[in-house]
Amino acid sequence: MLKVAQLSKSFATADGGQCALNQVEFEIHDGEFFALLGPSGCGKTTTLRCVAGLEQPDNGTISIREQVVADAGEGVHIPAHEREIGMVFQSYAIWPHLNVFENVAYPLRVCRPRLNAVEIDTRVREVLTLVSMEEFAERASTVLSGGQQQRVALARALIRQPSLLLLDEPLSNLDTRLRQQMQHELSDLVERVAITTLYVTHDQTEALALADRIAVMRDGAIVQIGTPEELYERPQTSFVASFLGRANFLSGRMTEIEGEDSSVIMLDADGGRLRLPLVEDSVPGVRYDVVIKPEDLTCSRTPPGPDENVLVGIIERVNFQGSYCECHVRVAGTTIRAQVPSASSVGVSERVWLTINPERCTLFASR
Amino acid sequence: MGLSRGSGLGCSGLFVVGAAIVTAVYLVSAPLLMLVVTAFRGPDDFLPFEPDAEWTLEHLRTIYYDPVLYQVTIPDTLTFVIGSVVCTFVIAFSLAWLVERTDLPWRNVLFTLILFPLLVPTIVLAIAWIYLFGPNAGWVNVALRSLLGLSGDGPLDVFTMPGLIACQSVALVPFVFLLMSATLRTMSPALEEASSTSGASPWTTFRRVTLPVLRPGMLAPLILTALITLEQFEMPLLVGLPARINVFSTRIFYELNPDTGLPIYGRAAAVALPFLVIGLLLLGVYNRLIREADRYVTVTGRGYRPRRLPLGQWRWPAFTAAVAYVGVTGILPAIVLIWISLYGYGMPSLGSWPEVSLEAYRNVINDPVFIGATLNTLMVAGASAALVVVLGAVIGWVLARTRMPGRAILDVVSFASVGIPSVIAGLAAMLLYLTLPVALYGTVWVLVLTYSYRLAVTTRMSRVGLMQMHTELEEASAVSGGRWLTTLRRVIFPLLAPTLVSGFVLLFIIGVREFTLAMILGSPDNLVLSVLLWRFFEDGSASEASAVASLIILLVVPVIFVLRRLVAPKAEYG
Repeated sequence: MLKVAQLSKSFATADGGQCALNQVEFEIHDGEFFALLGPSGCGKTTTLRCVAGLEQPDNGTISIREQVVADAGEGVHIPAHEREIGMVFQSYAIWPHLNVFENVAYPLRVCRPRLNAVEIDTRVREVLTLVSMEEFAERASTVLSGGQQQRVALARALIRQPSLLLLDEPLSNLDTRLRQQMQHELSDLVERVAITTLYVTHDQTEALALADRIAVMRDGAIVQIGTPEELYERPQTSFVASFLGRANFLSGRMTEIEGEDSSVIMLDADGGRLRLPLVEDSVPGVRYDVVIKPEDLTCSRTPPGPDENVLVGIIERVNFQGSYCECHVRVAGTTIRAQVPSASSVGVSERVWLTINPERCTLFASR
Repeated sequence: MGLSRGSGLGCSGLFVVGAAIVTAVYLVSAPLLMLVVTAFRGPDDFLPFEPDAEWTLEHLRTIYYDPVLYQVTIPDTLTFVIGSVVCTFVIAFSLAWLVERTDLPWRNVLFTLILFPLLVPTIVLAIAWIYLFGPNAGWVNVALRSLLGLSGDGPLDVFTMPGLIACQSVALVPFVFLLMSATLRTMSPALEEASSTSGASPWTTFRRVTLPVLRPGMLAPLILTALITLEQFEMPLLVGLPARINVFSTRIFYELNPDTGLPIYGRAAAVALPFLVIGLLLLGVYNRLIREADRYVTVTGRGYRPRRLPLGQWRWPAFTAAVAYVGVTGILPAIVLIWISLYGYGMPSLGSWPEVSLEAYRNVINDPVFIGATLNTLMVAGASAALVVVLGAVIGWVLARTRMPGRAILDVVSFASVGIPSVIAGLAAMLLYLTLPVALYGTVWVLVLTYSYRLAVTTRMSRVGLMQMHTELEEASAVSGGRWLTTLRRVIFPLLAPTLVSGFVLLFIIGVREFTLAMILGSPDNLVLSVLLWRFFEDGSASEASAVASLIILLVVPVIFVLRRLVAPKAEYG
């Protein structure tokens, strides 16, 4: 459906720096919801704008539906208005001089061949109903709330029934509550109209909740592509691990490889001994980062049986989260976050033992 | 009295606010009231409150039964205003669009050069244009005649309606350019990009999105240009009168300085009345447009700088046109003035190089009148700018932060100054201070007070500045034990400082440029540079006039750099 190959472009970041897209490559299948995820300035918006035709890549090719829309080598650049796309901008870009109806009708009014007024009317009302804005058709666009502007922008992007929908941080200008609601609506809507979607965001929960597949970007390059489960469970770099969840990082040195399937890691500052499954690049003597998520730690107030894969620490802080408490536990010079059931009523300064599930740990050689 | 929500102003605070309000209302409305009264008081050469003056409709009858008004003054004024507005607008929009929205080379340098004439008194421009395009000895005409083998006068004549319109437009372009660049800069590029991604071609986008979105932001400067053109006095006086073009500002001046006899104050006031009404009506329209334009300002997405339109093969032709414009309107006038000040009023020719002489500068600088005029200029411009900045800040605070009854009136009064033509302001001040039993008339102080009627600029700037500043910053000072005056001095003024400084610079420039008010209220004791320059010019002392003009340019050039820092587009991000 959408194929981006060897895309390179230098661009200016929001804070005034220079950066470059470096050999960005990905492919989106028909009907797929694909997210570009990364911190600000990583090049995700520039990638999206190259796909939209608003920016010209320095290098590489982009094709939509087997049609090459940009090929820097061949000098092909199909302008934005000749690409079959719909786009929602971060600022929504609702035209202040047109009312809601006319904003949405615009793509139909400028297309060739001309459509008759009745058909335009029917289609605009249809798509306004789709985004629950049918009552606001005659409303002036300058008096819309953020959420309403977002719906209008979405309706305008969908009305041409484009083959590709581009969303540039569409939820980032909304407040928290509204953002969650719009996230659900967006996901329902995209499913219902079954449109191929490229979604740019810096918010990992949005990407995890909405996307079929995610490409994590950093400094102008794609770091990892995968389904939300793959990225969450099997991050390939510590950057992906830290960006996708509230991961804990422990560091230590691999001392030995035991048998065929496990290795031993001595954590820094006498933090303890971990016995973990072997990974592909396990080498004794090398330093490793061990990533473990809060939900994969078990917290107890008495020493558990074996002393392997157990960390001892003092509770520094307890954050009540409703169904569970998040404890910050001081272990050998670092702070580890762990989840305990609210009912267990642990307190600050208490000594606790954290048992690690070795199957759930991820290991990266330290850089 | 509901002046402040929550925190009390205290006695001293109330006094400061009260004094500011009274001063502001006085500065704007007292002269105008006097003007209105004068229009109905006679006989002819009497001031309205002289012992034997009485109520009369004689002035209105004389002025409005006179066919000259309908056959000359009104048509000339209309032609002048409409012609200048159209020319100014077309030129200013083209330049602003090139500089702000396209990849024109050297656009930052051009931005500064286009603004250059904004700093120079209009009278300097008028004189330079006459030296360049005068039908007989104007440089350009002499050059054209020898080039084309013509004889006699011409071929160009500045002393015609088209000449007047051209001069006026060029004088106004920088200001309008400044307003339009601001509008073009604040327009979110996403609005146009959204049109592209909706399938509209660039031309359709320009027609259906760019133009309609910009409309209120462009119409407001259009109305303002009409207002400013209406009150112009310098060009009509220097270029219009020799061409027998009579606009309303020169007509008022004529009633005050008739060929024979004494000034007829009542008639001048009678001419002024309808133009005052027109000015205020235009102001009302302008105000409405500004509000609409503000509603059109949309949220700009972070991070993306506006994409500039690639001009392609038009890049260098457009650059050449812009450079030619800057050359003819900014650089050529400066060259002709400096040349004449050094070599006298002769066309430079290859055959006979005249000798350079600093005599004109020596004459001017050794003339105590020049020193006095320089000091007066700096004094009047500085003092009135300071007064207006302080008044504007306090009034702006009252408007932005309080629910005081009568705020609306204060708002109208402070903003009205934009709609009051300066000829009328000068006339009204003249009537007021001739009547009041204080010895102000003829001193520099009358100029300080009269210049200070321009409250609108700083009030508006302070108000916008305050609205962007969170109220809690002031409340934090109050709960820390600061009285209102302390808060004003230690929190509000420092936070508003950048706004106040730009306001001061702007008003100082306006003060240095001012000619109309100083001319009408002029006396030997309060002579300022612009009036002195006019006198040299009228006496035919071309070298001295040019020397004074060059010195004024020298005085304002450093200001360019200050102004550039304050108003120039901030790199690419803004």
